[in-house]
Amino acid sequence: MRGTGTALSKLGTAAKYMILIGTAVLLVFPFVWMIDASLMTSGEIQSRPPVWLPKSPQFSNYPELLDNLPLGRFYLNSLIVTGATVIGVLFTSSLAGYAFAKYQFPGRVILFYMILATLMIPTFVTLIPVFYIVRQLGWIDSYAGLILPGISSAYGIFFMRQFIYSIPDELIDAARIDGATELRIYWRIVLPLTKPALATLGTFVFIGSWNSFLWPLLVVNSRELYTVPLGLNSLRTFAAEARSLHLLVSGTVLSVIPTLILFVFLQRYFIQGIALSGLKG
Amino acid sequence: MNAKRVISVFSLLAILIVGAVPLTSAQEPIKLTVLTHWGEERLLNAQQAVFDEYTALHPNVTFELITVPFEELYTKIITLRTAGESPDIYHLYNLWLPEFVTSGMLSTPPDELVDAVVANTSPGIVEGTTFADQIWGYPTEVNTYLLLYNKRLLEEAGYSEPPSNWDELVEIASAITQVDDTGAVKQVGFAVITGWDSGVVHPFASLLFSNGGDYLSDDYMTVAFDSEAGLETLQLYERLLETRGMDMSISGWDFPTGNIGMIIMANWWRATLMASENIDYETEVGVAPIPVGPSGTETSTLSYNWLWAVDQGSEYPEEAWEFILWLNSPRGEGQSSPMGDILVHEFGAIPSNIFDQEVYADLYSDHFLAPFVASTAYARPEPLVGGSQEIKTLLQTEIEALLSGMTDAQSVLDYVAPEANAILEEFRMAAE
Amino acid sequence: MHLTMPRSWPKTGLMRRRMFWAYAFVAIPVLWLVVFSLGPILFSGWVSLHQWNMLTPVRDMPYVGLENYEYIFTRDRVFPLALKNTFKFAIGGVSINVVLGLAFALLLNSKIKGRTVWRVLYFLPVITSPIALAVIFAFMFNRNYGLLNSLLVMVGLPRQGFLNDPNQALYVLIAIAVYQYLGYYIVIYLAGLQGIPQDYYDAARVDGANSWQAFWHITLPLLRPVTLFVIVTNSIGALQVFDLVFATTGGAPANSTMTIVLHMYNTAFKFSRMGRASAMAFTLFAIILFITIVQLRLLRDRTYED
Repeated sequence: MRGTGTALSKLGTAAKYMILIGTAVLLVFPFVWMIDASLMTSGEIQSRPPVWLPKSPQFSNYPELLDNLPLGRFYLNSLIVTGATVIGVLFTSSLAGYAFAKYQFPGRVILFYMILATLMIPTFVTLIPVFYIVRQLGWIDSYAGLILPGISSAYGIFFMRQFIYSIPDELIDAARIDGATELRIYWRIVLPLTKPALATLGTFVFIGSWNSFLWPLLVVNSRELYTVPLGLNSLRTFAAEARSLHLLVSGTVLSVIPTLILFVFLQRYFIQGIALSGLKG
Repeated sequence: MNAKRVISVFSLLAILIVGAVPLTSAQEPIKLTVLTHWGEERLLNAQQAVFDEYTALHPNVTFELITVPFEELYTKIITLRTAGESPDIYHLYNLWLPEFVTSGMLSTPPDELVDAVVANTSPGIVEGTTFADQIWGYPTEVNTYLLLYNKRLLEEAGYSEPPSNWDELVEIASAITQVDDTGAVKQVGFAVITGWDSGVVHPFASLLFSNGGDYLSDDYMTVAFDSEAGLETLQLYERLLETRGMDMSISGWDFPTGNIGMIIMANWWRATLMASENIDYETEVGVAPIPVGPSGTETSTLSYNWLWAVDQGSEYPEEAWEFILWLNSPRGEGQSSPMGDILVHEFGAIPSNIFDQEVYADLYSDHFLAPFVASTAYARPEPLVGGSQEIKTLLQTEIEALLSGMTDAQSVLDYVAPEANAILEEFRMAAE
Repeated sequence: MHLTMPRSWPKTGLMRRRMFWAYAFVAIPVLWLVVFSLGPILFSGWVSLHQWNMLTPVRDMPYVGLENYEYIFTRDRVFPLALKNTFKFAIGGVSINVVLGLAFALLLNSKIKGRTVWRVLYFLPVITSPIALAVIFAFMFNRNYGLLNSLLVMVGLPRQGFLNDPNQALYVLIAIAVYQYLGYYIVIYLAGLQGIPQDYYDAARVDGANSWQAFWHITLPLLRPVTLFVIVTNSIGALQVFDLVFATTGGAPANSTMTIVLHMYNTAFKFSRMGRASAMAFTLFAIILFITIVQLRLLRDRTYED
């Protein structure tokens, strides 16, 4: 078990639990309200002062939503796009992050700062030129257009570099002495050791890609290609929005579930750590 | 060869050629791409039904529909254009016309369509579809602003009639407001919507017009809301705040929840009001003309409309315009247009065509819609001029500052007017 | 920890081969970024020297030199205000997040029951829809019926305008941002804490060190790369805050919550002034770059040192 032996353990278990519970209640509240609101009528959701519990839970909101939207299709699209994006980003980020952290090569510093620099401009500034490029490549209205432009992430490279940095060089050098190829070292030694980092980065990328709205809105024209956010937003028809609020909220709850499942599932990877059995002393 | 044979061969060829030409052009398949902001399932079905109806009449024409939410429509249009992916047919908010037209983005409609617009819609709507002396498309839904009021709250405060002038407005508003002893505002007499440009500026303009004022000068060279009439309009807001008739802690969006006495809003809010559980649409929602200001003589209001337009780069402009004309023409003698049907059945919106309004006269005798329909006859359109969006946002920000107590009426005008005039001039020069 | 490679050594075949692999590993990720990120950014920089309403073709854009930059620094009334707000937001948000994130990560990493459950709960705001968060916070902070004001009234304090008050709105937004992103930083710190071998703590305890000393001399230093990442990315993100403000106040009331990126967005997509928006983007870029370099040096990014 990874303990920390930190100063905070001194606080005493009681105080610890009080803080934990108090903060947890605070943090969980909007999520609970969201589920609560998904069982309300449109009118109840809009009540001021707010209604905290529906007069009678409208479970019918969910079937009604599914009647109104081909949510299954949107889910499938989102899964394809987000899944491919996560795999792609994890792969490119760990490769490049490893190279930046553990290799010496000319231009290493400049290249890295250049990569970092791309984070310093808001994405919508580059939306139009990227759209133009994507159009030239013929990726408009396709999975390629949704997945490929974001397959390399400066944030991901930075993230993996910092984590891979703390892998002891001795492990890598030992493998080299044993005659392993560079590729094998990456695949067999470095990658497994970065599981917590990969799980963390993967979760973030998943959330970002799953909720991505503006780029898919521009690149997609056909309804068959809609991801979940695009699908849900089609319920917002300005004047008619007030009538469909109950569908919007239940749709939002449904859209949040995969991320939740993923996070719960990835929990155990957050716990695993570096095996140092051979390096005591 | 003998002459007879030559002649018969040639005549045979001639017949074949002449006969073949209309056949091939009738069979050339045409696909028109249409971009709207109606993405909800039943609206998609309604639009598809109309497309199918047209394809049945013109088998070579098919349609591809692209929809995005209203908030993102402008962005989508711009982005598609930068990459050369523009649709053939747009459904546009008329405020965007100046920009789109000066960039050469829109195709000029045929005379037949222009004549139909002038013949079938009211002058205000025609003006709202015109820029640079040209009509750019077929108007669809028209929206105006009127004074909505909560009958129950007015009666509880002792008033059976809504205000007809500004003094009455201030008096009634202040009578309705209730504050409890902890300082919480339970209900308020008048409210405005903030955080959204049309929500702030359109009601302001409606009041301005009803005070005998103008938004822009007649030649569109300068703004005209910095007049005495404009100052009085802003001072009306100040008076409402002073007398507690208005309190910024209650947002105009809350009208359907029944704690606001009066608000100036548009007809498209009908669906929300009908769905509200805290205010009864039939018995409690009242609609009245905009109260007249001290410098005004009669009530007025602001209108804006949407329109169908065609892209300049479209491969099939004639077919596109033909479809749009069909869409907005009566199906038969004394009947409504396909577009009119959609607007009425799916939205409860007001169609621009007078004949559509007449066909659906029953629906429009509803206590809410009737006044709005009547107001389309005298409503003045939101002025269409280059830079209007920027001026609108400028005005919005400054009016919000006024409402938050951070500035006063005169300062607002002193700041906004010169800036707005500079913007107007900038766009005018760029258009040359 | 490194085997240094002094430059005076001849480049052996071995090292050359390793360098080849290094380039091979970074090739595609970097190339991709050049095409989809860097290229568009440079295009944007070029646009900032022109006037472009995005409706006319790019080649017809009038060239205006530094006029856009001149405008935003001298004549734009909103830009300086947006700068000030953004800085306040970033400084407040980042410092609180960094400290709280670490504190809770330590708490959650210690011996407590049901760790998985806690982690999921703390992460929930991150996956809750921002709209839901905006709605809840609007409820909580409402002047007339909000929970917070009810509490204030109970202890005899006057009601506050919060999101309606130009002097308070920004601070409420900072609170919402901290709330929403706490989970992210807890999770990152947790991953970082996993990387610290238990042996170090065991050894320290054997040497008689107490918890505080262990924290100060082992945990903190070994968390340096993670802390660096957290501060740098959090700053870069906070200075570009957009979604939160867009969804809640839209800059209101009276521009007291207007941030740079929101102003940029309005300039680009509402007023169609892409040239001016690009100039703002590049100004922001320069600011962020400067701040990041300062942070990297102050926190001494050791990845390239011994």
